[in-house]
Amino acid sequence: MNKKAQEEMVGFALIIVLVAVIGLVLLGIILRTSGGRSQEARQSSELDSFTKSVASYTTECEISGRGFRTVSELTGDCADKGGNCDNEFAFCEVLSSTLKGILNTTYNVANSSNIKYYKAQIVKGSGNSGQDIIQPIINGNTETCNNKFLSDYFVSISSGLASLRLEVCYR
Amino acid sequence: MNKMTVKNKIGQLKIQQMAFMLVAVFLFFSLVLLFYFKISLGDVGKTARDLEIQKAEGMVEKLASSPELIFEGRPNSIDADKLMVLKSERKFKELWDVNGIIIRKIYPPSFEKEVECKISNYPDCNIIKVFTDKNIAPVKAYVALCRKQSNENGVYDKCELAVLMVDLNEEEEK
Repeated sequence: MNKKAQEEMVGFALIIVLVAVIGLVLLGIILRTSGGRSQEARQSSELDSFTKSVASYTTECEISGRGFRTVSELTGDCADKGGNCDNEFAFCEVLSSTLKGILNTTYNVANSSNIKYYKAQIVKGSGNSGQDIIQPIINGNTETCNNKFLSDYFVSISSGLASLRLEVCYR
Repeated sequence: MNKMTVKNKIGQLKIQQMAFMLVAVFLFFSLVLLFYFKISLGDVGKTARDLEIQKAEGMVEKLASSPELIFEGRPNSIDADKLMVLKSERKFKELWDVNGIIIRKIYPPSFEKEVECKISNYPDCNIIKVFTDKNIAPVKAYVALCRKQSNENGVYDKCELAVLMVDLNEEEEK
């Protein structure tokens, strides 16, 4: 009789432990997914605002009669016909150096930072089959990434569309 | 007599067993309830913080496209000249429902130190503080900070890269 009661108590305790463990695991999963989502949304919206703002940035490239060119205007100049600014630097060269400077200042790629790498491209045409207008700007190791964000900003050029594409990998 | 003693013992054992069960069930459900309340209350706090951040994010986007601040209809571009004028207009604080707006130029890098923009030193400065003395706020978005500039060839638009931060800390107000 005693043995049977003991067995029942042990069984009951086991059920309690089992239910508690399952509950904890489920709660952990729920809390982790809900926390991650808002952080992702923030990083994504930050990246979008960054590409939009970079497109409006005024470069050092001045063309007489047309003033200083913004990144989006310079993208069109570089993609459509090529040529030089008043200071003799080529459109594409100024575009590339401006983007490098902005990215280098804004996104710090180091072991201590939360950014693993970034990759910026200016692509003629849309989709993945586009042709690079300038050499892609890459900083960091692009081999693997579990937390990657992409942003595209489209610029109208005479031969269609060009896209300022930024990929940032967060740790 | 012996039969009575055995029956009593079995009865006592069953009562004991039931009492243990009741205590265990009570303890189990109390623990579950405690756990539930702790998590649900913690979640309420977290949800409130998330909502606050979402509100600030919405406000940042709203400000970057508001007619009072937008630069010549360009997306995500803020007119620095307008902002300098509105700096002293307290009524906009109520209109935008913010405690403060901070705009920090980040590119091109201009000064080593932080130089606050005032009418006397504008545009040779790198941080514009509107209705606040704070230097930083938790929610940020990138904007193009634009103004009219002139050189020997005439007037042109000059847009620099900046970070827009909004302080929505309502508790301090109350």
